[in-house]
Amino acid sequence: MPLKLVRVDDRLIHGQVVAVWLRAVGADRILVVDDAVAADPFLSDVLRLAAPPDVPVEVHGLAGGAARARELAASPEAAFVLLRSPVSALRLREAGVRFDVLNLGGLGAGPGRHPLHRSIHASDEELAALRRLEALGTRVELRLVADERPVPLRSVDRAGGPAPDVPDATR
Amino acid sequence: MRPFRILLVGHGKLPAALLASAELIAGPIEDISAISLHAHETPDHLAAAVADAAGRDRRPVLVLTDLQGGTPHNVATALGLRDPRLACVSGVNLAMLLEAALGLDRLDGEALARLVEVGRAAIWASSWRAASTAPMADGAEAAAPRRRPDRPDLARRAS
Repeated sequence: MPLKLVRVDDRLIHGQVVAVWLRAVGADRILVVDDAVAADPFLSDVLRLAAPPDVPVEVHGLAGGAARARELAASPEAAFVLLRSPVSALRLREAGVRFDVLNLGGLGAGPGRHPLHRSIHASDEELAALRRLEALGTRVELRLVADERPVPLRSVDRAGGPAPDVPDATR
Repeated sequence: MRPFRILLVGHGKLPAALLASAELIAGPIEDISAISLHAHETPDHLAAAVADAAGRDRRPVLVLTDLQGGTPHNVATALGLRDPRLACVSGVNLAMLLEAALGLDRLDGEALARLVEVGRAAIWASSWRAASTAPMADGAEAAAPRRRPDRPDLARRAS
């Protein structure tokens, strides 16, 4: 079936994901797609131990992950795709993986990273990837947990310029 | 003296509150630390705090975390994969904590399996008896939840 959710979260599998999102989207398999994680067996082990015992975790690099995501989308399985960067999301999209919505759930702060919404920040390269995804027809929403109202990318990225600092009224 | 340290690691105020509640029941508990992940702290902060509390000597450390897959558990699991002194168990509740603090005299696979069993056995719906007198809405056997399915995955992790 179509991918249940494609989410960018630099912590990948953590409390919000296992306690809220897996349940909310009804996924029965997690696909982590990231070249650095796939190349690190230690990190891959930590991720496998982070998921509930009945939810298998697969870790792939970008090339293998795109093929696997296309395969899962055509299978009866309900898969949840986790990425660490919007750039990976664009690569998947360009490799023919279909997803109508990209969920941005957590991207850390740092030098050169613009605050977008709550704990979501993006570099210039990541913003460009997000704009490109929207141009390709994927709606980008910023949402940490499932019961929050999704914030559309365009409301925090006006005119495609540097992102404004959005005050956090929800904390 | 207990031959291992205990670290309670979790989200927000839970670790300190759980420790305070355990001490309310059992009196002062020695050799235990409560470490929290607060909003806007990074996993790296937490890893440093846990590594610091685990100490630099050779004593084993039992890390009890609040949620499997949560950042506190992931951080502790990652440290435990690198440092065999650390043993991690998720889903800590008061019963498990009291067993760890008062009931264990060593930290091995058997002890970890016991902690998992005690923590799980403490979860019980007192209303099952009442529910068993009336058919359940979905027609399921009222006694069905009493079953404790074997969890080979947990046995494997505990060993």
